[in-house]
Amino acid sequence: MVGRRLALALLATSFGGCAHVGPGGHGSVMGGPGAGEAQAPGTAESVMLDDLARALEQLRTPRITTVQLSRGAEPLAEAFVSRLAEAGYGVQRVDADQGAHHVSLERRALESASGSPLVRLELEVGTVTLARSYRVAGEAVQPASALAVGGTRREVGVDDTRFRATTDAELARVEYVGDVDALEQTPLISLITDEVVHGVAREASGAPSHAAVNSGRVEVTNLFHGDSGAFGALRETLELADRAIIVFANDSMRLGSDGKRLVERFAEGFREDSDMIGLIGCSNGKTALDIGNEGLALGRSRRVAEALVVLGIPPEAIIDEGCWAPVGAGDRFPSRGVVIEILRRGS
Amino acid sequence: MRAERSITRRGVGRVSLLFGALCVIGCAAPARDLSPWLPLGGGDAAAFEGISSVELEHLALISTNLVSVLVQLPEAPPSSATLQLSEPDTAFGNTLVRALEEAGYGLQRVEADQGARYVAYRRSFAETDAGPVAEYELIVGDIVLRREYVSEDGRVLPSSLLSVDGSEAAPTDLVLDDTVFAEQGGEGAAFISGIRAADGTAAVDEVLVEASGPRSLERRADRYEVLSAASRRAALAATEDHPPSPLDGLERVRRTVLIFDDSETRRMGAANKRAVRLLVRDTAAEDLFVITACTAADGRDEAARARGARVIEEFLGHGVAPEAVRLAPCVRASYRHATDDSPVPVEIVQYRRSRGAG
Repeated sequence: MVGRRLALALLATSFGGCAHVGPGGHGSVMGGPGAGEAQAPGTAESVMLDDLARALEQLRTPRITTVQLSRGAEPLAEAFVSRLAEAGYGVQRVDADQGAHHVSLERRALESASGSPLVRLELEVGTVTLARSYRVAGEAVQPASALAVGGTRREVGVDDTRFRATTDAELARVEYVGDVDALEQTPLISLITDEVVHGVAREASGAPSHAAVNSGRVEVTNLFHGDSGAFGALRETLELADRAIIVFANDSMRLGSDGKRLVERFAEGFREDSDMIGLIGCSNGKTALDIGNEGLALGRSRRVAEALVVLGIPPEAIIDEGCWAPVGAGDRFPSRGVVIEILRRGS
Repeated sequence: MRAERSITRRGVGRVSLLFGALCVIGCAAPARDLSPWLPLGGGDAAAFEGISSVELEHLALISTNLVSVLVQLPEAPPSSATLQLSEPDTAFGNTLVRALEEAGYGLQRVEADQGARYVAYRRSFAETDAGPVAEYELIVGDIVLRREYVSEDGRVLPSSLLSVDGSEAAPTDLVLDDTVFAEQGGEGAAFISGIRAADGTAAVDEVLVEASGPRSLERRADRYEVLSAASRRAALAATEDHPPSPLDGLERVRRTVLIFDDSETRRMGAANKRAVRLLVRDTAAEDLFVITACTAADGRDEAARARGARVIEEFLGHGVAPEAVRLAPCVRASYRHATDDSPVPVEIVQYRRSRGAG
């Protein structure tokens, strides 16, 4: 009897052990391990990936968003995208870095202030970035930092109840961040209008230059000369929703506490679906600085743009221009300040 | 008691031998690698049970054949179209999903048949006077692709034109790469090749199978390459500007130069992608982006053409219409040596309708 049972058990084991489905395994379409993929992540990694995926779902709607993943991506990124597929995202496999929502995910080993090892996941999905550190012990995982959100100001709810009850409640929050260095690396986008050509001659004659490069590495025209600006077509599609002037001290690019408060107010009022933030940095009048009025005007708008990016405003949502001249601009523009505007698409 | 234990031990011994024998018989065969046919994002390996690798290769070939035409249709460009599909539980369904993935389509799993580009498929068999025939059908939204194939002598060959319904593409605009079937060999046999549109217009050809016998699997055309070549060809056909068309009524507005890390890469990098986003952000109706990627002195450079296609993909991926992007022909301006792998430029010039122009 015992022998028969044992034989049956061994038979079952034998067949079970022999059953195989190849490297592709059996999984759901785009939801499980696929052909040639590495093994699914462990429990701790799954929990961390789920944490980031839940945050992303609040920023990019699953049913209407397709994410791109490069062929040969790391298993961690594959696992994350499988999780997104389960949530209803479209998944597109690309041979390079194509797409508006291209996914990259990095895992970094860190050390806490007390010397304990931490894991930090850094996710990029198009222009949105999410990053968070975790304390991992075996299969148990706890957040070790707030959730850093970049490239967006959308509200993100952080629910840490899936972690252990001992999770620090102080960490269940979002920190909006921005990478201002990335702005510097963008290829220059130059203007090639007739006005700019004329502006070169004007500059040579000692008159204020006609164009210069803004914080986003886009060449813009000097609004002092009275044209419609480099973003005329874009501005035509938008309506003014709010406007204020951030005043700077003479020959200064310091934003100051009042300026910072005003920038924060505009960041709070910014609606990502419909808004852009317009900046016009101004320096009209005499200056003792070597960078001249042009450098001062665009330096001021750059200072405000950086403050907005650090608060999570997407750089693409900022259009900064300038107005500069060694003489006053009358009522049209402030002498030393930045005009900040919320520009809204009509309903 | 002792006798019973002894019997049990003997039983265990026999069972161990049996187990060992089963393992030798059952486990000696190496696990079949299904990765060439399963969807990259996971699939149903159970659907392949009882189907030989040769048959799976046939299904993959047929799937590739159908999808290689789908990618050329203006209604479903892979760079910007996301298709909806249910989890496949048939072998053909799995190889078809794999082909759609390889073609670069965005795939979205749905529970029922949601979506404007829901993917449906069908395989049906018929006994005809010409012998047994299998018809394969791929449906994507309103588009229907259909073709008959026959299996003979361990190979699969088309036995009808590929019919396309629900697309404005003319058969003469589509390229059907049926030479992949000829690679299976067949001693000089021939099969019909071509595309027929719903209105009856057709482009018909004949493909001769290589008399030299079948190529080994390793030497056959890579399915991914077949699909990406078809997709790139279609994208370039829609945007390549040769000879350059007039730019009447348009004036240059902006110019930027993207730098690719080397002459072979298709990776744009974050900075170049951001520049494209900024250009797309400030796009007015009727704007045109002219991309110059090739600066070869002899007017030909496939790597540069691929870089240009990559930039076009990026624009299309941001929702820019294909007619708003043009790939300019080579500008004979470079003395770059063939072995030069230093960073290479791609110029983008944005044109805008002149104020007052008709």
